[in-house]
Amino acid sequence: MTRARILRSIVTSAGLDGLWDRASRGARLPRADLQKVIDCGHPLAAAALADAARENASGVDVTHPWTVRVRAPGVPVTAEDATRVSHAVEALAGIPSTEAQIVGVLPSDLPLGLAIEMVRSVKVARPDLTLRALDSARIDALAARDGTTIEHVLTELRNAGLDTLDWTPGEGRDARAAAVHRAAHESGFETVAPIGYTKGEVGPALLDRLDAMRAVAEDTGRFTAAIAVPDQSEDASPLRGTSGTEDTLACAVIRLALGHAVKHITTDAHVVGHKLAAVLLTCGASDFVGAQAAARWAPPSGDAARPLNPDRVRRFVIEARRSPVTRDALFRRVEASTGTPGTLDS
Amino acid sequence: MSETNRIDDILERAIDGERLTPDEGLLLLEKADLLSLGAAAHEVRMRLHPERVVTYIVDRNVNYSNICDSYCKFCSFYAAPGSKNGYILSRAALKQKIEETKALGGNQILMQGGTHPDWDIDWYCDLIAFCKSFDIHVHALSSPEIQKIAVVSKLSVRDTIARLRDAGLDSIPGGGAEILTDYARGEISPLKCTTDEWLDVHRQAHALGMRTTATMMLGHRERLVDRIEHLDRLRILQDEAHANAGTEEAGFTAFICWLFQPTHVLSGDEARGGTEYLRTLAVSRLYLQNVRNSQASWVTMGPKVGQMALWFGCNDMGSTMIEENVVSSAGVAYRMLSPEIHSVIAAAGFRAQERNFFYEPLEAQFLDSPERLREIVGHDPKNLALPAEAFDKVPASVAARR
Repeated sequence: MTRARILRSIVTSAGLDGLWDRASRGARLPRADLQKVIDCGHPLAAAALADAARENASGVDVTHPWTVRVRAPGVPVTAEDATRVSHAVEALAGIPSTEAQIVGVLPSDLPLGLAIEMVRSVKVARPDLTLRALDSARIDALAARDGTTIEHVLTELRNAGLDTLDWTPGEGRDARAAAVHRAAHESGFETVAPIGYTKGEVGPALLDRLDAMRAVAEDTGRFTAAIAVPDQSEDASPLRGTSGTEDTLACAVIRLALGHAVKHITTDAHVVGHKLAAVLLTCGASDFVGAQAAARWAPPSGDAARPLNPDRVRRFVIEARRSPVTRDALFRRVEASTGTPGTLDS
Repeated sequence: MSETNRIDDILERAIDGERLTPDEGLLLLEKADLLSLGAAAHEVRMRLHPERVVTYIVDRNVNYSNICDSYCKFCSFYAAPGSKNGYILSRAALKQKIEETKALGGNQILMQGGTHPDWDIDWYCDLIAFCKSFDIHVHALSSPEIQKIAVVSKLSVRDTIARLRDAGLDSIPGGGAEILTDYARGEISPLKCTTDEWLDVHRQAHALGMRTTATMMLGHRERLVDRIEHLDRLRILQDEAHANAGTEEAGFTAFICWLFQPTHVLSGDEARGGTEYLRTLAVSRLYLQNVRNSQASWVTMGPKVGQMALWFGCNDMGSTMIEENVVSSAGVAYRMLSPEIHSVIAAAGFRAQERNFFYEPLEAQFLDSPERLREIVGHDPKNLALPAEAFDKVPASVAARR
């Protein structure tokens, strides 16, 4: 789908004309240019640049995993609303999916041994799936709890079967995140770079975090993707949470900052809401997380909104005039059977 | 001319105020890049409203009854006549809702119900007069309801509207339009008024000097060509209203579109995404330039996509929705208070301005803070504002007549 002249016109009006060709080639943009994008005052101008960069990197493809969410044994599931489906480890067999994700409120003093056992149990139950679990803050906490190094923690978890780290809302606002991801890459992991921000932070604070992650990306080349993770979910009051325009701008700036070194920018429907997440596929994102796996899909009940199954995600991708590609947690293309459109696993 | 050049040409002509043909509108819906559509729609919006102001209204959706014999396939809200789930709001409940609305700084009620097989013009005039007695703008009764009242009362549509207006009806909402083609209506609401009948209510209201709004519910069984035909029919009617009145201050005040939410009904259908909404919204701004205002539907899309809609042609954030029952019955229940809607508009890069139905500016009072809302209407996560016990059941006299 070719962009119309009007887009070039608004990019020019926004004072960003000099960036168009470089963005379209996937060139590395200096921080000053990224600041200009943030300051331009026209989210569609920023999105247009990011979409040109996205097209250069991914063409028409949009990748998406099909995630089976696994409840960590013995811990409550965090803020689980009715739109999310999760399963006990014992119930994982036979559920079609392309990656597993461990969810739940882990205790702050979780010992490394239990974390390893948790990872191992999921891998034993579903050795065919790539596993995503534990964010950078958790890796740090495990090392601190056991008085060991993050390198040791990462090695142990990798040996237990962990394939990649998870992300959480707001993650990456801590300067430690970049260090943990660097260590993870040096331990053999490929990970997704979390770029956290909160309301009002799409500016110098975001650029500081991008600088840190960009340095890791350029040094290791082991980020599979980067993801914008506002600290508040879609359900937060607009007085506290980020705005749709902030999330759009953040997604665009992340593409423009990291696109030369990281192939995919991910949008997570669980974090920004599936309606905006679908829009972000035209604002720099090339990967969509949110399709959930369930043993079976049942009719809706009560006021439950529809969770996303792979068919819905594919529809969103097609509505964006793009082509859906199923992937695993390591962004490898996989074939997956489709789920039946529906809603909650009863 | 290549397709890309043709799209460029169409968008640039639309920005300059030229009219799109139906074929051109369809080409944009099918083929134009989303951001290009948004950019062009925003240019049109800025030509029509050069100030960077986004308006909103503090009002309440009051559903006086859910009893309806249209049996629309998409609707989660209605109760069939005789159903134990049917309700009619008592006068006491209506009074409470209107007084709460005013206490919260609201200046309008948007009141709709269903098509009832028995209720005639006198019943509705009493209802409207009662609401108007509280000195509030009464924006009420959709085309299907008015058509039904006319049939039950054996009156012409114009006489029906005139009677309602005399009773206190100030303006007519665009509800019940869904998609204004008989193909689409046949798919989802075959028993409701036809396209021509829907339009005729608005035509007659405009002829009587009343203002109305126009809506579109998209993302169900309609085809893209139906969406364009819908816009075309609205544009033609708006031309007629302007020509007859000799002024552009006539006819539809605004266009509002939203996505069908298939949670409970048409369950084989899947909800469309934000992209489809924004695409259609932008094309509607380009196509319907004779309707001055375009409203973002944050109630179904959420505040975040609502903010993006302000960059896709919208100059209005609609209502704070002190109460909303119909969409929430389909499992979608976003809500915002006026401090939040102000914040949302500002965060999107615009200045918020409270307004009335006629888009005249009002001074914001911010009387609907969370604390005040809880104090006045209580805590009600389902957004019904009143407990179920406040709903009257169908009166025996009405049941007996059936």
